[in-house]
Parts: sequence; C-alpha cells; structure tokens
Amino acid sequence: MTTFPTPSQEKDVDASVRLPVMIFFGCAASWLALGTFLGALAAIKLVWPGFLDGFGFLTYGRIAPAAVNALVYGWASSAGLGIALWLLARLGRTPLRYAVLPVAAAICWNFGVFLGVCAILAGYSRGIFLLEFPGFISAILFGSYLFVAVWGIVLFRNRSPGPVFASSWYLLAALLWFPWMYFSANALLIWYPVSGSAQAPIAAWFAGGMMALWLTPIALASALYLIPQILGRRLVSYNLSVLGFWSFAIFAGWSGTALLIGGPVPAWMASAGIVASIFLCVPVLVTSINLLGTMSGSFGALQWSPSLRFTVTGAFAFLIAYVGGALLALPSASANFFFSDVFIGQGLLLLIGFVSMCFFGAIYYIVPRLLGRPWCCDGLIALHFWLFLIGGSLAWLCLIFGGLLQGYALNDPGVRFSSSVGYVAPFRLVTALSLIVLFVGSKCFSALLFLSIFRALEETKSPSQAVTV
Amino acid sequence: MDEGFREAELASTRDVTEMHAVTEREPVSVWLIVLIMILMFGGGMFLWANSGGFEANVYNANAVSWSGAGSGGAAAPPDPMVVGKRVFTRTCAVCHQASGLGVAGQFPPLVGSEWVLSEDWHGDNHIVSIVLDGFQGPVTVKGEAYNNAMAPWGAILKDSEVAAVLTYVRNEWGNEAPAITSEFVAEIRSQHADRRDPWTQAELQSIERVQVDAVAVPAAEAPTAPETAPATDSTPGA
Repeated sequence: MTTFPTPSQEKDVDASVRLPVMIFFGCAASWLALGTFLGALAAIKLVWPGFLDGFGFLTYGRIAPAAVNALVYGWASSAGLGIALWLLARLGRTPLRYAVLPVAAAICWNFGVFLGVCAILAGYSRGIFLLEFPGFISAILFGSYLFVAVWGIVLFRNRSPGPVFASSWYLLAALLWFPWMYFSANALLIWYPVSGSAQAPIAAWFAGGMMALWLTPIALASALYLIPQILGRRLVSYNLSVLGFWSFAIFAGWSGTALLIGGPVPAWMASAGIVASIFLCVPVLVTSINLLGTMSGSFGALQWSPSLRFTVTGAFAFLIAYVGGALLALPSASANFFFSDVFIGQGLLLLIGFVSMCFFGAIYYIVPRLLGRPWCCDGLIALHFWLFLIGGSLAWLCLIFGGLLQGYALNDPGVRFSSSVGYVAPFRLVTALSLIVLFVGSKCFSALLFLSIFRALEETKSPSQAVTV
Repeated sequence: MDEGFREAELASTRDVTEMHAVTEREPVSVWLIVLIMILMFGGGMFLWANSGGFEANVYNANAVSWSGAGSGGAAAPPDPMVVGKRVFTRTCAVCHQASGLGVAGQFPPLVGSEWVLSEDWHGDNHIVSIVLDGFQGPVTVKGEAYNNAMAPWGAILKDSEVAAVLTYVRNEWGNEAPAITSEFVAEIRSQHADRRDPWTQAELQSIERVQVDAVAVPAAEAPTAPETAPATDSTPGA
C-alpha cells in the first residue's frame, strides 16, 4: 500500500537538497542579471552602433553570444538543474544523500559558465549557436552536469513506491536527453569537427534540442507540478498527459532541422523538421489543456500566489510559442522571416516568456520551503512580475512586428537592404528599452532572493526568533 | 497582492502524487481528437509532397515526387522580371524614374520608347550596347531631343543582370517586346570587348540592327546559331 508523505517527511527531504538547490538558484539569479544586462547592452548597440565604442570585449559580436550563453547555461540550465533536483526529491519522497557531490558539481558548472562567458568576451567564441564556449569549457560543463544528473537519477531510482507523477517523466527524460545532445554536438562540432555541410544539420538539431529537449521538459515538469499542487486539484485530463509526453518525446528532437530549409542538406531533413514542428502542436495542445484547463475558474488564485502567477504566464507563452513555432516553420513563412527579427522574438518568447516564467514560479514555490520562511517583500515580487510581463511582451511584440516588416522588405526586390534595416530601427529601439526593463526586473528578483538567503542565515545565528512554518 | 498571500501559498494541500494516484477515465473532447487528426493528416501530406523521396542527393524537394521521379537537380531559374526590377531600382531608377517616364528635357523616357522596343532602325543590339558601355551626346527619343550622358554598366552588371533589367524594361509599364537573353548580352559584350567610350546616336545608327531571336538560343533548339554570330564580328572592330 502506498503511503503518502507527512509534512515532517517533506521537511526532511527539503533539508537534504537545500544546499545544492540554493547554490544553483543563487548562481542562476546572478547569471540572469548579467545576461539581461549584456542583452540590453547588445540591443542598445544595435540601435546606436557607436555606444561604448573602443572596447574590444564590448563589441556586438561578443556581448550578444555572451548574453545568450549566460542566459541559457548560466540562468536557465542552473535554475533548471536546481528545480529538477528538488522536484525529483519531493516527488520521489526520498532525501538526497551525499549532497556534497552535487554541491561541488553546481560550483563547477557555474565556474565553467563563468570561464566560458569570459572566453566569449575575450574573443574566443566558436561561432556555432549555443556552442560558443571553447572545447575544454564544454568538457567542464559536461563533467559537472553528469554529477548532478546522476544524483537526479539516483533520486528517481530510490523513490518511495507508488505511481510516478507526470513531472518525473519529463525530468528523467530531460536529464537523459541533455548529455546525449550536448556530448554529440560538442564531439561532432567542437572537439572533432565533422567536415563540410554535415555540420549544419547537427548545429540546427542541437540548437533546437537545447530548447525542446532540455529547458522545455523541465519547465513543463515544474508547471505540471505547481498548478495542481497549489490549487489542490487534479489536472483536468491527466490521462491525456501520457499522450502529451510520448508525442513530445517523439517529435521534439526532430523539430530543430526545420531551420535548414534552403540549406545545403537533403530536402527531406528540412521537411521532416517542418512536419515535426507541426506535429509538436499535439503535445502542446494536450499539455495546455491540462495546464490552463486546470486553471479555468480559478484565475482568482493568481491574486495570492506568485508561483501560480508566473507559471500561468509561462503556460500561456508555451502555447503561443510552440503554435507560433509551427507556423514559422512553414516554408512560406520561414522564406520571408528567417533572416528577420521574428526568429529572435520567437527565441525571446521561449526563453523569457515560457522557460524563465515557469522557473520563476518554481523558485517562488521552492525557496520558502527550503529556507523555512516566507518571502520578505510582496511589493518586490509584484514589481518583478510586472517588469518581466511588460518588458518581455513589449520586446516580443516589437521583435515580431518589426521582424515582419523587415522580412517583407528584405524580400521585396524594390526595397534596398539599407531601407529594410531603417524600417526595423524604431522597433529595435523599443526592444532595447524593454530589455532594460527586463534587466531591472531581474535585479529585483536577485535582490529578493539574496535578501531572503541573508535573513535566513541571520535567523539560524539567532534561533530564538526562528519562524516555524 | 494581498498581505496574506504568502501564508496561503505555504499552507500544505494534498500531495500531487496522491491526487493523481487514482486512475480516472476523464472524458476526452471529440474536437481535440478531430484537431489532432487534421494536424497529423496535414503534416503527413506535407511530408509526402516535400520529402524528395527521402533521397540523400535530392536537395530541392519540388523537383522530385514522393516516389523519387524527377531530376531533383537545380532550382528553377529566377524570374527575370523580379531580378530586373531589383537591378532597375538600384541602377536605373535614379534617372529614368521608377515610372520609366524619365524627366522631361533631361532623361529620356523608357515607356513606349523606340530605342527600348527596337522599332524603326533601332535593334536589340543597340539597347544592350548602351547599357554595357553608356551613351552620350544628342539623342532623339519619341520625337523629343535630349542631350545628356549615361554611365556604362558593363563592368558592374553581369550578363544575366543586363538581360534581366532589359527584359523588365521591355515588359513593364505597358511595354511589350521579346525578352533579352544572357547569351545575347554575352554576344554583344564580346563584339565590343575593346570599347572604352560611351556610344553616340550616330555610331549606333551605323551598326546593323540585330534582333535577340536571331542569335544563339540556348539548348538544342538552334545548333547552327553560333555560326551566324561570329559573322557579325567583323563590323564592330572597325
């Protein structure tokens, strides 16, 4: 007979993962601030190329990939690993043993990202999207990842008997997919590069997979856990989540090659990618029914739960981003917009709108349980939410509309190339302003997180004032 | 946010695993199934039409059917009207205007121009020569006199671009004349390869008019055509 956890068991489990998870979250929050700062800087330089002229390490070609890598490896991957560890421990109702190893791995991972971002700024970028880090740094990241992932899988293996909730499927899959992708792509493109046009499909598969097979499953696992847990209500179509998971598992890996259309690869590769992007709408619809359908009628809960607020925003962004991704993959659309800002807007919606919002939701839920005390400042949480919602949606809208204009201008034989850049300039200005708003929002978030950690540390020094939750 | 929201969220509810432990047969919307079937059908049809038979050496899916029939070779050549419009906007529209009407008294019009349409004594070779090597001095177009200079474009534009822009000019704004081919442009270019100065009306008038369809049509249609071309070589050398 399955036994369900008592609150005291939950506290033991939380205490066992506290240190590695908090290290991941703390580093992630710092990377988020740095990444949005560099992103805003890059966006400003796109509008005023002369801004901060004369510093080699601040040229656009360096800060733009540095920002993306800081956000993907520093912020999203660190936060995702922390969330995965906590969720696997919580769902498996099993404490983490020998936490010192994942702690060391977390420090190594973030040290690797630090070296990598410095290398990009110093001009040692490898020029392949999301594989810009030099080869030895990828090896550091891969090694430290294995230590965290093995502990995640051990947590799953040692789970208490009973049914396995959908979040665990996604987490386990993501923990296995990432090393497969990251190792293959680094081996074939960085360590022992294959020759010629074979690099293009590998790079496209990897870049698509980093979002679809790594960050998306973790964000979905967190959303699928948080919405029913906070509302105290079963997912509306839990039986459909099996279909959602397996169709996602089958199609997601294929979707990246849609970008190869017109490229130097056999025609079927691009077509298979396009079809996979269209088929991805099946798991996206099914999962959205589960996430948003469970919410329906309870949107009032967004008033009191910051976790729910961020997670539900992320769930909406998930639906828009993946349905939009299927539309953008269609040859008629990608022919017009592939070289325009539309695809940057799509990436921003996925990374900031969907993944980051879901991760914020998870962090707002997890940290009070780990520190044993509620968040300190309501105002700062609200500020963080609104800054990200406004900054993110404004940047997304500007990139999409500016990109549409730019795409049509690029394809009109009567319009000069320089005019197509001129059309998109005002949209890029607003995008730069929105990225500054996002930077301020991430400063609010990291301030909030470090304030909470600081206060929790103070309380442990004077235990008489400790609050028991 | 309300003051009490943090405590409300920290309150423990039933565990997620416990809530989902019971297997329930939740109803599945018929519309969802229909939508999924439409998506799968559409995607399957797309793959059927664009897979190029899953051949490793097929790079253009439109050239090959599902069963692998067809060549799968190069894509169709670009439409000369589209390329021509691009070249025209970049190089010609400054003087001749996007409308092709020119500027009265300064730049002659292209619309209905006997030079463009190769009417009267004008030949297709004349208009190609003007684009390649430029033009200067007095000129009569549609009964109006002009006296201006046109820059040579032969060093900047490829044969295919000259052919495209002339084809565009000859078939836009109500103009109607046969397309100029790249081969024809190459032919005229080789005839006057040594020329460095812009043409004048008198010089051009002294060259016998040659129409585009008289010279080398590509492919197997006219194997004898290359023989007629060298015959005209003797005239420009003088």
